Amino acid sequence: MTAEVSEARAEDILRQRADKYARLDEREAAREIVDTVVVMGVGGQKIGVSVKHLEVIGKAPPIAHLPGLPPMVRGVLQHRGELLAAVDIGRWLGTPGKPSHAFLAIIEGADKRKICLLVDQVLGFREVAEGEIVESFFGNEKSEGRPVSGTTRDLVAIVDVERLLQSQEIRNSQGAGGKIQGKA
Amino acid sequence: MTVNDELRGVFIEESYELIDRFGVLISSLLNTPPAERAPLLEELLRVTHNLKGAARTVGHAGMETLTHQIEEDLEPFKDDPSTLSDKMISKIGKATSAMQILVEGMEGTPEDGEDPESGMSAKGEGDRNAQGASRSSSSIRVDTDRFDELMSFSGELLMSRARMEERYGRLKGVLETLKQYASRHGLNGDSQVGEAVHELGDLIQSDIRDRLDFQHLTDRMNETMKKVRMVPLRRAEREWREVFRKAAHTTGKEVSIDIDTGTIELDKHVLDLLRDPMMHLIRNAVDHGIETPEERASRKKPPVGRVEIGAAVQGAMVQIRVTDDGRGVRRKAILNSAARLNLMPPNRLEQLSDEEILDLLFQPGLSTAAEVSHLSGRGVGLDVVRAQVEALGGSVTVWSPEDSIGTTFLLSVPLSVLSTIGLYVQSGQSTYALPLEYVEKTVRAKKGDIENLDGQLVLKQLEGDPIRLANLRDLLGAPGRGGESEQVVILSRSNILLGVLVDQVEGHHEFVTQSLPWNLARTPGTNGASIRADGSVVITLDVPYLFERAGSTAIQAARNSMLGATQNRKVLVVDDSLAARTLEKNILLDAGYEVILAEDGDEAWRILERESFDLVVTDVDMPKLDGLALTRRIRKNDKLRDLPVILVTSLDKPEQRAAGGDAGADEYVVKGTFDQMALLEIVSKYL
Repeated sequence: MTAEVSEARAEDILRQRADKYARLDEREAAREIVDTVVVMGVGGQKIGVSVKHLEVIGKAPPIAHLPGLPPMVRGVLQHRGELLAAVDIGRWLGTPGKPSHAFLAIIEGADKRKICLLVDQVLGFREVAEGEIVESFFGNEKSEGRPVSGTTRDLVAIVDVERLLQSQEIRNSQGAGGKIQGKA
Repeated sequence: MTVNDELRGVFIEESYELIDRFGVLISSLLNTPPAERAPLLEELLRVTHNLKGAARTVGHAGMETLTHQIEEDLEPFKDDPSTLSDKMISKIGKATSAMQILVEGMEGTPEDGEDPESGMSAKGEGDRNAQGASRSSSSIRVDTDRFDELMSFSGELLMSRARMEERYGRLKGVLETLKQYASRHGLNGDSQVGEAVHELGDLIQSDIRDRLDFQHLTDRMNETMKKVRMVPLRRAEREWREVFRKAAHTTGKEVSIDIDTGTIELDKHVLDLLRDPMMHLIRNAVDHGIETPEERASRKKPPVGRVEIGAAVQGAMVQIRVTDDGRGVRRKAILNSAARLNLMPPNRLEQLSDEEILDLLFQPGLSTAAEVSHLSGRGVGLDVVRAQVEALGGSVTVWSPEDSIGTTFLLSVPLSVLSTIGLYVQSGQSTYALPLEYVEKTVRAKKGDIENLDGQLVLKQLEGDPIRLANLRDLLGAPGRGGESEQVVILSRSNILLGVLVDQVEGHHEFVTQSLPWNLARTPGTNGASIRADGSVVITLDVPYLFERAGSTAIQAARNSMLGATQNRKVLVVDDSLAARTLEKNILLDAGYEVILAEDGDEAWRILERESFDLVVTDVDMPKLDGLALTRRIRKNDKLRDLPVILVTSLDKPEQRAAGGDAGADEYVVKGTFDQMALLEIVSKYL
């Protein structure tokens, strides 16, 4: 059974719907944006780095190999005259694909120390809303040795820059040359 | 400038330094409890004595008298410095300003045959001020920290120039691309794009003159900075003679010294850092090189022993030779000592060349002296001498004929430390700089020149012994395998040659070395990096490290054959630190073991339940299940109780070691106190 709807009634229904959608947007807007990350692809996975820690993204220059480095540190490169350790973040996270390492992201910690992350692609920027990062979907993403603070539902692993810079592997990247270094 | 002018200049400069030190020592003495004053008093006496000696050299009677008096005053307290009163120290301290006035008075004194001392004494205060003014116009004293800062700026300017050159090259590339684009699209000079291209071209062109000026100025600045830092090598002679005199006195040997350093000048920083190695070598020559008069008589040698120090410039290096005509070095004694210290397997010791045997003298702890005196011990500290000289970018070698004729130590150090000259070589994707002082020659190996001997690559030579050969990529542990390279750089260290296979030799370059990034600064095998004009990074290699790597590879091969095959021996490495895990894995893999990794004790236990192993190397402090708990679990398990467990940890307190033993571990190794050979040594005990 159908009933004819007057123009006035139709207009009223449309207004109510518009109000409803507007309220939805307001609710969405009420979720506070806590960070903006640059989303990058590496070895078939997406990682996000907070722009607060990001100094530069760009094409990766050639990397000079140094002896005795752990596998996730590929060597040293220079950016604007500054020498930086080039870190294979994909290898660290255990990404399966073969990386191209065509791009770099230079990140800086609170203590002004910098390293360069090697990535395959720069996919864009993304806002991260409050409560959006899930520490663990499967129970093992935030293991001791994994420098991520969590993952978003669209599977961007958010790099915990301070933890990364403070990690034993980064702080004592040298050390495989002969003597075994003491643990912190 | 006459010789006397020059000598006076050296005296003035040196005196100011000594007087400064004198003042510092006086203050330190006053602030130090009497019972702890002995070393300060000893140094104060030495400084005073040096001042007296310098004054005597230039005939400055006033300074000589003053310093002699200070020596006389201090002498009674030498044996018991605690009796030296603060009042006495203050009284002596007052001499500081008197000495300064005496030296100031000597500045600006014309070289007219006038007795410098009488000339000085005839002048009043006003004259001294006038002389001070004239000094300020010709020379100033600059704090070394400030000067080092200036030098660092100069280095940064050179690097900045290299970066500008790189950008200039890129800018020219962009212009060329734009020109081609404009041409393809018919955008001539009248169009907006055409005009922009034209203007960009003009700007680049006009920039050339400024760039050339900048290049010229930075080159001149670099050269001037180098010259300013240069001091005469003979400035060190007095101290060398003093060390020699004391060594002769202490040992009671009859010995003479002859020093000839000519007019060589070198960087003050280099001269300062040469002080300790030279003192050691001089003492060593007197104490262990020169024989007792009786021994010399029995060998029909002149009763008075002789030590000679000479110097010569070789390119960018200065070579200093310390020779004695003493008993020489007995190879057998070195080999016995090396065997006692278990430096390498006996079959490897037998294969060493004469140069390699002599080079063992630089191994830590090796001594051929029957008894080690308090003065020095042949071998004791020579490792430190080498470390100090190599830290300067230099080298030290020893040569001694087999027939008791004597020993020569040859130190080679750079004249300047501001920039380095190196041979650029390419290996894989990277370019490396080999400091030129180590490069003997480069050769292209022909087919059949390279052969295999006991698993070791060897380069045959038309003349001379075959040379041990290694691929640079393998020595550096770079990814990928060493290719079919034919380019060989022959490196020389202590007369021992090593051929290094590289992909390409790019030629010599002068460069300024920068420190590596904060977290790679202590990377072994490297001495920093430099940035090329194209922006690429060149790693400066630590050549002694390459020799050690090549040596340890050869030694390892010998050791493996001695111990028997390590293949099929399976080791479980457990460590929550990826770096430590990787390092231990690499050491064991290199030695031929099969290695399985676990991140913590819990994971290790799961692996042990399903696979069998010959040995476990585990960290102690780990999450989930620590190394002690893992060891206890292994010992309680019927199937695993006999599995050897080595704890590798940074915990080194006695109670922590005891806990390791209580848990049932077979070995407890503290990280940082052992090297890879030590780890393999321990592992081999159980496999």
